[in-house]
Amino acid sequence: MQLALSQRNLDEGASPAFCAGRKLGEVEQALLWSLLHEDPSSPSRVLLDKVAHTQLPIAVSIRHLNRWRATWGLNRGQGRPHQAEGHRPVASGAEVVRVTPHLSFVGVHLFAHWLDQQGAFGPVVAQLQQAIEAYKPTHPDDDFALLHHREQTLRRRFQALFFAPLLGIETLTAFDTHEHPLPTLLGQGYHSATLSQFLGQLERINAAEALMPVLLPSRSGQVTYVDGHMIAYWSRLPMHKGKITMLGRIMAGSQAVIAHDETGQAVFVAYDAPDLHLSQIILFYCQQVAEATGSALFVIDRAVNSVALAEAFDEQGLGLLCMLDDNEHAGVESFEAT
Amino acid sequence: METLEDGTRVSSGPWKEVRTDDPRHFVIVQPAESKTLVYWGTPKVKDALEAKEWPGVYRARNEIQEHRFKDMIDHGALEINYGRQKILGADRHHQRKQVHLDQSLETAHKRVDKKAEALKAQQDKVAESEAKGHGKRLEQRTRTLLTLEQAFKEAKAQQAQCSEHASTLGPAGQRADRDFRKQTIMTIRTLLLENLLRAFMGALAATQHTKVSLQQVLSLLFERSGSRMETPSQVLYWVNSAGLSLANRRLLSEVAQGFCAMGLQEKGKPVYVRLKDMPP
Repeated sequence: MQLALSQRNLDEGASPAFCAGRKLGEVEQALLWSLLHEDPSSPSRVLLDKVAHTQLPIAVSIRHLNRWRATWGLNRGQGRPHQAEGHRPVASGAEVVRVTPHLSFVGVHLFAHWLDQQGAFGPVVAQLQQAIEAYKPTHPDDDFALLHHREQTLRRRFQALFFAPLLGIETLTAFDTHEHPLPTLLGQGYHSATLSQFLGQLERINAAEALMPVLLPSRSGQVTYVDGHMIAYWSRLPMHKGKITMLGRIMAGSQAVIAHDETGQAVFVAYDAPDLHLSQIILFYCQQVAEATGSALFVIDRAVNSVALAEAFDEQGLGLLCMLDDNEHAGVESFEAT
Repeated sequence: METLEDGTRVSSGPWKEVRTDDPRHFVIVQPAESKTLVYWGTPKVKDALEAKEWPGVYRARNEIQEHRFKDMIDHGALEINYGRQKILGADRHHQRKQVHLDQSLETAHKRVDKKAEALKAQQDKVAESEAKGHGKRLEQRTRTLLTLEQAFKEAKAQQAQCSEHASTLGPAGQRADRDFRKQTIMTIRTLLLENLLRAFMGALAATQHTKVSLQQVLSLLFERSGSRMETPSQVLYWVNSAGLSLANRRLLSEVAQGFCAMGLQEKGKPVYVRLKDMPP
């Protein structure tokens, strides 16, 4: 009888229409329904215990619950609970409705769906796979996990790194210490060790170079903006120094030089030691950007304000727009202005 | 010269004094109430952009880069160090000291030569005065000779000091540099996240009338909790709106409607977003 009843419900297809009532909302009704669907012979008292263990406590009496069971046709016969043979498998119930009563970072989940719909990670995975294939013949003796990853694994692990800042995770070790919704977001959680290993292996195959084309827009603009960004770094080793901190100490660190196109899309990044002034590296950097994007006009702040650099850019066929320092002119009188 | 709508005068041209070694072209902007700003560009910029466009193109730097960097620091983990490996490279501090000393040494050599030349000329003059039997002039020339001898000695001493410094500097060594490969990968991650967030905001903005900033979407929607229900025909997301002010609730409601209008799909089912007050 149980099987026949359940089967009939399944054939009808589907979960009932959940409308928010006075005592139970849609989510609560759906949660009860999915729990009942998994085990229709469960007594209502046991069911309430199960609900109490979820993150969505429901204030409902057994009597009220029994009314819902009757409405849904999921009430059980009288007598002691027993293991009925031929119960409907759990999986088929799960196909009908699935409820996650507590979901943190809801917007990130929605953003992830939008990205999936846009196929945003397709190019990333394709570039990584190409880099792996290119690495294998040049290093035949090397054998590490990344070289054998399936497409799905590459995608998930990169996504874990990708979504981390939106989940409030900045350093990889925070994956172990912060609660995060990776299981609901990617279908799998990760520990920092796995992701550190993944990042280290990406480093081995020089993934930065492979991933750079992913940043490029489909249509290149006319103007590219370039600016540097320095980060301090503490180390006990003697290292090249650059950034001067608020405490007046000179620290080791890194200098990212980042290029954006005129629509604000980041298109290129390169890192240099902080002791090298932007003017020393900018020409080579802009040549690389021009080669990658096809855009040869650059707008850079006064860090590159010099005649020598203007000459160098001009010789290389690159355009540079910059500003003159105030102490280099005496107003419009200094120029043959028309 | 051109006057813009806000009264700013824009003119362009080269330096008034001819400078043959300077290829730059200048655009001078004289706002009505603040100081004059001068932009320069290479000939390629002059060919590609009209003079009146230069200030606007340059000013866009602020929004496109400065503000973007701040955003990426806030929600993209741009300012986090990844990777502790170090690689040994040339000691650039030593190289810079070497270059500085070489320049000093060269200057010292030149100075010594110059002083030696002046000393020799003065010695000749003194000899000439002695031969001609000058009285007062010989005295003056001898005094100058003493001064020049002193200057020559000092120049020689400085040269010796520079040579000594050069010899004590020692051979070029090696110094650690950060290995930036991991850092670069993670920065590309951050840039890609920012690019995709901007594209997402563009798609969201196209579905609604009220302007919503990325920061608002991040704080009102991305960081909030909720619940999810999947039925055979649709996927429903509830966003917990408990504790939101009326204005934020209205804004979040519009964002949720925008999401529904975006036509999001999950496993082929339409995705709907709703607001719901949930207990903490």
